[in-house]
Parts: sequence; structure tokens; C-alpha cells
Amino acid sequence: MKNVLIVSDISKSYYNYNSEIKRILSWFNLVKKPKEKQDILKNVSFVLSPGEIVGVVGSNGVGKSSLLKIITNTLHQTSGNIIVNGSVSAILELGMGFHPELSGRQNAINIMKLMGHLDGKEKIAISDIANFADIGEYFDQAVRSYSSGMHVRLAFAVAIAFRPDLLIIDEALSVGDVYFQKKCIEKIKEFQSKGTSILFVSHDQATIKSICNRAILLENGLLVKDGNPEEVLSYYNTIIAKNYV
Amino acid sequence: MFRNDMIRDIFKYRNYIVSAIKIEFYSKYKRSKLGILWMIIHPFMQVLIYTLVLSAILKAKLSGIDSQYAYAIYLMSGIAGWTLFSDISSRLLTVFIDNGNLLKKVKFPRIILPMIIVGVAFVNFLIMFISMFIVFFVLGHVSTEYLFWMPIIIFVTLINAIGIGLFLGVLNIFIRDVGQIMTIALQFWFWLTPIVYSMDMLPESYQYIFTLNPMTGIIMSYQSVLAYNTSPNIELLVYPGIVGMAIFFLAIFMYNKANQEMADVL
Repeated sequence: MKNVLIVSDISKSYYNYNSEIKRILSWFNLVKKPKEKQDILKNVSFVLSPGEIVGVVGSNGVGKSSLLKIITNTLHQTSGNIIVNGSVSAILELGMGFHPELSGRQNAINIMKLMGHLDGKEKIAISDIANFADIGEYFDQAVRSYSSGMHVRLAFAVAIAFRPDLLIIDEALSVGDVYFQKKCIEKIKEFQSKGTSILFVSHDQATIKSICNRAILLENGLLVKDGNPEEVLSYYNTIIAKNYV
Repeated sequence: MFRNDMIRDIFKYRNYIVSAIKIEFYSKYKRSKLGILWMIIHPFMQVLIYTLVLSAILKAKLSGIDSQYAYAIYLMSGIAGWTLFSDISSRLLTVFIDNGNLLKKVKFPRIILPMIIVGVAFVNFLIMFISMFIVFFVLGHVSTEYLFWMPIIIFVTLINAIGIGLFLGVLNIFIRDVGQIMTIALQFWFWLTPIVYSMDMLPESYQYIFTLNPMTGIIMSYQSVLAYNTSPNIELLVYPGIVGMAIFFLAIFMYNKANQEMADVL
């Protein structure tokens, strides 16, 4: 079967221009790109086949979020290639783009349009969203009156309204109550059985072990380990232990 | 220079752009009793104040307009055009910075954000334009003969406003001083454009320098059509048209270049 995601040789560097004017002049080829740069990701490569749930682990600041942003195309790689076969949905930050004065229903429609879903489709999805969010009459009230938990429920429900070929989840599940977390994991597994691949960033090792088929470990911008979750996590824990000694 | 995907994106997201414009107005007036009426009251009052203060009290007269309210009519015509220009350019200046978080986290074509701003400013302009016309009518000043020029004049205004706003908006992401400078510069610019005064009040030797300002020709065209009820001087529109196009394409070029690096620094 065709791979859902092919990440080949991705690097990301931030160039340190000693003045921002030089950055702008470099667009017109008037000055060269500076030599001094900060590498965030170095030659990261991996593939995802359909139905795989891959956990992405690593300490803070090793480039996990940058990698996901590059895959969703909100950040551009410095070099390397990314091929996505199919649709991508990302839950990078829940509740992004919600308008406090609009009701949950209006926000849901608005966000779906922002995500590029064509007209008409979002009206069909809206009852699924209401059911999944399960926030009762609040669904038709202004979002500013929501508790943070309700906010998360609505945002997650919107993000998974359509089954994507690749779903990216960044720390999103750590919020919400136990009941809702369980519901989300069930949904993730349902998507998986239908062929969705999932990239899952979390610091919760127990969840990674229980839902992922595979894990990758990032360390200082390098992909240092790719294998089954147990193995990768124990390797990760050894590194952490070593760094503390 | 225009990437095809940019136009395709705008077309694909046209529904979102329209609903975002609606939301902007909806959420602004939702919690007020008078609601959408405020959209009309504000420009109406502005127009009314100018009329009362500047005509009844100042009794200023302008040659070429046969009305006791001549100066107010002249002033309002210019201010309508200026407001469209300054609304768009000053909001485009900070559009990427204000939406930094959204740009970093949700994948959507970034060009739709400026489109929403232009749409909102244009709706505001239309409302102001219509209320101005009603006031003109009440004052006994009817200038409809050359209204067919308005689409062209508005187009030249938009090209200049979007060009300058987008150009500086992109620079402002990387060099934040640009935003501060532009806010001050806009105020100088207002007074360097013949809105409150008219060109023939200036010494003849200076008039040439003032026409180098593309807004001079644009504003004078508004005044020709709306206040003097004549067709605008085409020469005065060609120059801002060319300058506007040049800045507009430069801005699109800069935007495409910055698109790659924007998320790095926001």
C-alpha cells in the first residue's frame, strides 16, 4: 500500500541575520544568506504507512513541534522533501481561531471553512460535532461563556469532524477529563481501523505505549531511534537518566 | 509574479472570506441594543458634524460649488476617499503580526487575511459613501452625473492602499519600527494631501511637488466627482494608477518571499 507520509531528509535552520534589513535585501539577491545559522532539525527521514499510529517523543526543544509544523506546512523546511498522500488534519493548538462572541455552532462552521472544507459539507458534519463535543445547550451559546474543558471538547470535535488520511495530534489529549480522553482515544482507533495514520506527540509514556504501534525519538534535531514504543521509550529513559547523573 | 495558486486559494476560500467579513461586523455589534444601526450612525454623525461645524459656523465658501455648505461637501468628499485608503493601509500594516498565532498553527492560505481586511474596509466605505450621499441630498447638493467614474477612482485607491499596506505589513513582520513610523507618517500624509485645503490655496510653485504624492490625484478625483460634479482630470489618475501598480506588484513579490520565513519570526 502507498505510504501516507514520506519525510525525506528534512532540515530546518534559522538564519541569524545580523540585521533584518539584510534579510529583506537577500530576497532581492543583494546580499548572501549568512553562514551563521541555528539548526533545529537535521536530516530527519521516516515514512508512515496507512493505519499506523506513531508516537513522537523527545525532551522540550528538540524540534518535535517544528517537525509537525513542517508536515502541516505552516513552517517551511530549509531542505528536504515531504510527500503527503491524502488529506491532513492537525490538532496543534486546540481552540485556535475561535471567536468569543460566536456560538459553538457558528465557530465550528467557521473553522471548518478555514480548514478548507467546501460549502455544504460542514452542515452535514455539524450534528456529529455536537454529539461528539457533548456540551448540551452550550453548543448554541457564545464561546466566551465556555469552561476550558468545553473549549477543548468543541475544538477536538471540530478537528476530527472529517476523517483525514493523516492526523497530527500535539499534546492535545492532556486536557479534558478522563471520560473525554477515553472518547478521543476510541475515535483515534476508529480512524486507524479505517486507514488513517496518526502522528502523536505526547510526554505521557503510558498513553504512547497503549495506543502507538511505533515511536520515533528526536534528540537535538536528529531522529535517533525509530522502532516499537517499548524499545524507543526505554532508550529515551536511559538518555534522560544519563543526563541527570 | 502572481502565483497561480494564490488566485486559486482566494477563489477556493471565497466563502470563508465572505463569512469572516460578516463575523467581523456581527461580533462588533452583537452585544449592543442598536446592533447594525451603529454601522450607519457612526459615519452619519461624522458627516453631520462636519456639515454643522464647518458650514454653519465657519461659513467657509469654495469657488465652484454653489452651496452654502460648499466647504463641508468638499471636505467630506476628500475624507471618504482618504478613509478608505488609510483604513486599509493601516490595518494591513499589522495584519500578519496580529494573526501571528493563527498563522503558525493553522494551515490556510495567508493571503485571505488581507482580503478580509480589504472587504471590511470596503463595506465601511460603502456605508459612509451612501450616508454621505443622503446628507448631500438633504443639503440640496446632487452630484450624480459623473458617478460612473467612481469604480475607477475606487480601484486606483484600492491598488495604492493594498500595495502600500501589504508592502509595509511584510516589512513590519521583520522590522517592527516600520509600524510605528507608518502610523506617524499617515498623519503627515493626511495634511500633505489636499483634503482640508484645496490645491489652489497653495503657492503655484509648490503645487507641482504636491502632485508627486499619488494620493493628491486620487483625492482630487473624489472631489471632482462628488463635490464639483465634473469628470476627474485623467492625468491626475494615471500617475497614481501607475505608482499604485508598481507598489502593488512589489508588495506581492515581497509577500511571496516573506511567506517562507514569516512563521520563523512571528
